[in-house]
Amino acid sequence: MSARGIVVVIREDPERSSRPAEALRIAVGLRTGEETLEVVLLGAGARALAHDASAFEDAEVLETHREALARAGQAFLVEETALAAHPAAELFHVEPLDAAGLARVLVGAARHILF
Amino acid sequence: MKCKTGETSTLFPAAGGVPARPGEDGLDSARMSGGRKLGILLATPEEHANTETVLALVRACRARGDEALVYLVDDGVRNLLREDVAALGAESGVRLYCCAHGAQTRGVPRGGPALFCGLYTLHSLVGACDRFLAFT
Repeated sequence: MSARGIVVVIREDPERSSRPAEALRIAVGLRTGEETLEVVLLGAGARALAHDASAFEDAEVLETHREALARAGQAFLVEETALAAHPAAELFHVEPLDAAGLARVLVGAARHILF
Repeated sequence: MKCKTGETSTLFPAAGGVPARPGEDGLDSARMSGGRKLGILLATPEEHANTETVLALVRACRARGDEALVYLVDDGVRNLLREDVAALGAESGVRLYCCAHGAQTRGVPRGGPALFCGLYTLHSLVGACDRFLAFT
């Protein structure tokens, strides 16, 4: 693969779907290599970083893997409007992302996985 | 043990097994072969239209002489319940991987030509292929 990395995009609501939890689990697995990994949260997907995840689908999987990413120093790129609507817990390193920033991230990656 | 071509290989664990170490998933040998490789991640269940698309892509890929590496994850593991998908694992030039965790949690039985493995294999696949498509 080229030096460009992998981007995992989460846009589904973790309260309605287990796919955000699965996406975070996959992100942990993909972070094991040399390629750079970006985790992008759009829309309701930004809720995946909420302080209280107890009502989410597969809450245990989601909490375990989001915290594993945080401990590994993984930043979460969150759509800025979504971040305003769904604040992230303090544990997570969050970088707001506007439309131009999202475009740069997507164009800059060689592999894209959207949930 | 036997790989798909009938050659003895330590790179190919028995079907249904879990690679114990990196390199036992067959992806190292995939890197060394000559053809181009298309990686496919399938995360939708067997009734989703994505399955037909993936099957068609794999057929087209093989018709061009390229290799296809297919990884089933999340609800995508249920595609192993389809005979046409499960049969991909026995085809020359196709590697079929299934997330062991997903299969266990969804009650998909092990067996057949698919290789049950962990996310390290997905990571290796992403790195080993020339093009990568995710159907989620």
